[in-house]
Amino acid sequence: MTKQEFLEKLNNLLSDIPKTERDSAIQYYEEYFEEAGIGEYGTIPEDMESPEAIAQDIRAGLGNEEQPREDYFQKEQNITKEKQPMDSSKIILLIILAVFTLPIWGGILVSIVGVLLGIVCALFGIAVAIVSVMASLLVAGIVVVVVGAMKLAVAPIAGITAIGVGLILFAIGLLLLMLVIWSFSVLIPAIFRGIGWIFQRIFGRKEKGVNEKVL
Amino acid sequence: MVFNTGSTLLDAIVLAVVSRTQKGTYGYSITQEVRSVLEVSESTLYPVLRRLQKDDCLEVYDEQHGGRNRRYYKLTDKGKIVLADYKEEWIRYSGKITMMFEGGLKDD
Repeated sequence: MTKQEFLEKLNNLLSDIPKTERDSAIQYYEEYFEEAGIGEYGTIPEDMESPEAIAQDIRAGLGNEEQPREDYFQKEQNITKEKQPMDSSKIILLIILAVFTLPIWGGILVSIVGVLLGIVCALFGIAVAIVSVMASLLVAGIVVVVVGAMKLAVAPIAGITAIGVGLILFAIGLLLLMLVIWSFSVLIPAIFRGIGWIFQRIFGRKEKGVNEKVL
Repeated sequence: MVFNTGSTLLDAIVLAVVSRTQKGTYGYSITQEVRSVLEVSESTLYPVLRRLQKDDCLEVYDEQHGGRNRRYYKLTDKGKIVLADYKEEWIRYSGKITMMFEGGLKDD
């Protein structure tokens, strides 16, 4: 390690202690290296402790925030791990694995997509059917009521019956209309949310698993 | 050295080294002197010096030397008392150990 690297590292490691303390430590080691005849880019003596160990000793000397050295090292390691969640070799390995297992998971993936697509189409068909039935019921209801009203003078009983049937048809049509409106406002968003949830479970879970392994 | 050096003994030796110059002495020089009797790494002494300074056993002053700054360490009055205590304790302690080593047979 060069003198510069050492001082820089120590300075960073002491970044959370009071500035005067940090400056005092840096000044001491700077002076020490100068006395030892080590230039800016010269290497520091072999038996110098690591900046981590020195920083920990200085921290302990401050008294107020004593923490065991082991903990401190662990903290350091965690920081470096967070910075590099995956090294490149692991990523390459994962890609190779993915390519070689393509026949297996590819087939499964295509089947899943096919099934989902089928379900969506079926739902769409049912929806179209319901909307058509609803529309015809409404139209038929109105027509039958109008016809019944027109026949009222000629054949009063048949006319009233026709009006009644027409109103019943219209009422069923209205019920279906309410069902359609409910579907569009509640059911369809719910279905999409459900599909999203399924995808999240399949893919989200996998990603989490990978991260856990790395950490 | 085969024996461990506790932090108290290191404190005592540092105080002794500093006390040997009227003017006081600086980090590099203290380290070299301590290293002539104890196996400590070149980086060990800063936290010790800083602590002794905080405990009012040492005081510091800066002096220019050959175009650069040197921080000198000097014993305070408290430091002198503490060192005297350490010396006394050491004589007692090392005497007992020496007795144990060289005292000969116990049963007569």
